[in-house]
Amino acid sequence: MSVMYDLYQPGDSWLHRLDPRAKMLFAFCGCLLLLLYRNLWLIMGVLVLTQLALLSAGIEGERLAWVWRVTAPTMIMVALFWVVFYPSRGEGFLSWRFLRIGVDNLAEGIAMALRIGALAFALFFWLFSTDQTILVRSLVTLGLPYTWGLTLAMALRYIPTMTNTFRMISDAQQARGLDLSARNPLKRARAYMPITVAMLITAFRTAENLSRALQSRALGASPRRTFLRQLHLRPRDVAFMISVALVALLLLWLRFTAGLGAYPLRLWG
Amino acid sequence: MSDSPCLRTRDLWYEYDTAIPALNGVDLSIPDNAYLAIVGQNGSGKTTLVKHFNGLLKPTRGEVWIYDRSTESATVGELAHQVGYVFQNPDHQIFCATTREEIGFGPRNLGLTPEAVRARVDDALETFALTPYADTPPAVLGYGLRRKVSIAAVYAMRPKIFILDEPSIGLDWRSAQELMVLVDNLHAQGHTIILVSHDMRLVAEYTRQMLVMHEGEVLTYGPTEAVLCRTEQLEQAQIAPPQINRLARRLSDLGFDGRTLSVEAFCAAFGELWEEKT
Repeated sequence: MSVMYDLYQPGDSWLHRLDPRAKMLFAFCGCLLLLLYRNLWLIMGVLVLTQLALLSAGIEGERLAWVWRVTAPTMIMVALFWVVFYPSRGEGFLSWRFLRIGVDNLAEGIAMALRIGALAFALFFWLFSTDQTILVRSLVTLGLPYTWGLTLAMALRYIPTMTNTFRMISDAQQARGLDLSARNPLKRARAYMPITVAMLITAFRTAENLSRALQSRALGASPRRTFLRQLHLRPRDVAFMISVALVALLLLWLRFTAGLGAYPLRLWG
Repeated sequence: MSDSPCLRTRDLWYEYDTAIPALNGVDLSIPDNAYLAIVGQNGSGKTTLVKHFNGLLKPTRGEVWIYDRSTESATVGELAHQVGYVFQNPDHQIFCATTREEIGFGPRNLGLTPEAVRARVDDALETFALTPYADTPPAVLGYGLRRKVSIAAVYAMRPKIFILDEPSIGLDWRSAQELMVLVDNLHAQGHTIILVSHDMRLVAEYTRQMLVMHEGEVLTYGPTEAVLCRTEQLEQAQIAPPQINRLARRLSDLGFDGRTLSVEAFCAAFGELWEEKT
């Protein structure tokens, strides 16, 4: 995999030009709706639409593949646990002890797993197309204290860096004979302990260094900050926000009145 | 130094997910007990090359052999018996509650008995002068000591080949000298040493062979003093020989040897010339 150090991909597409608050509203509404919907087809539809939107904005396919790679372990785990702990309500096509797999719990398990991916893509719709300075600025205009906004933006910015660090630590530990090939999940989890601890130490050290660097550059020295770049909502941003809000309200209304997306395979109640 | 190679590559190609290959058909043979420096600009393929030596990367095309074993089917853990890789950042490997445990981690992975692990840990602590810190968490040690711990941890695995990625980076002159004395001792004990470094003074003073990488290819490879005289190729790879070597070459008309690699050698030559003139 090529190395990615920042979530933001520079560009001048329709998505990049959109006000960050409009993208934030989209991410918020998208996440809210996704958490209320459990329908496989709707979630798949959201996945397809967000990816088409990102590709149309010139976001590289490699970045989309990275999101899939990062979320895949969680998605697989969610799907497996769902099928195991929520047995099929019908006969099921596979039964063994407490395990009962049917179309209903399998579809719901897949929907819950894909929901993780869809939630990630709803967020990356905002993060891939917004640079860190603008991101912080938009959070501050919404009333968040500057240091909080900066902390959040930096935490997000460090996701790819930490992913690369994790890979390097994994290489370093394997070079000392650490075997990560165990199939047993418990043994595998134990084998990852040296990597996890080294990762935590590195993360704490990075956080400490970063906080010192920020302080040495006078962060928090003055109670009032000035900003180089001012954000202004343009008519197309307002139109986008109104459209998103209206569609979200309509979908919410349909969810609670007509049961839209409330069932794994049936679209309506 | 034995003539039989401990490490060979044949037509080694490696591609990340980019259109430009990181390694372009590298053919290489490194003799046993070599003391080799791999130099080159950032992105020239140095780290990509050495990551093939312990199996962290598998060739896109071509082959790599450690002694007579191809790395193709070997895991990193299996190759760790013979190849020890010390990463540039010691924090990427430090995780244990004490230095003693940290050094013992590798030998335990090799399946040694507790007695053998203890013996190796004690030896490594003594060799690297880390005994006073044996029960200290390595994460709280200073950078120089953490660097030593990371090398001691690999030393305790007793690999035949040591790969050190930028060993002197972040170290003051004294710490770097102390570290290189330890590396010198490893070489004297018969280990093969491979340094990946940008520190040309260190390369010139310590290593016996030098390999210059440029755009994924081996530009030149040979004895260090000979390679440092190949100015055209060094310029192509944007590598400057150490200042003392350049000074000696400038003064070659006065009788200085253009292959002088260290300040000590320069001073000795100066003393001889002074005596001759007076």
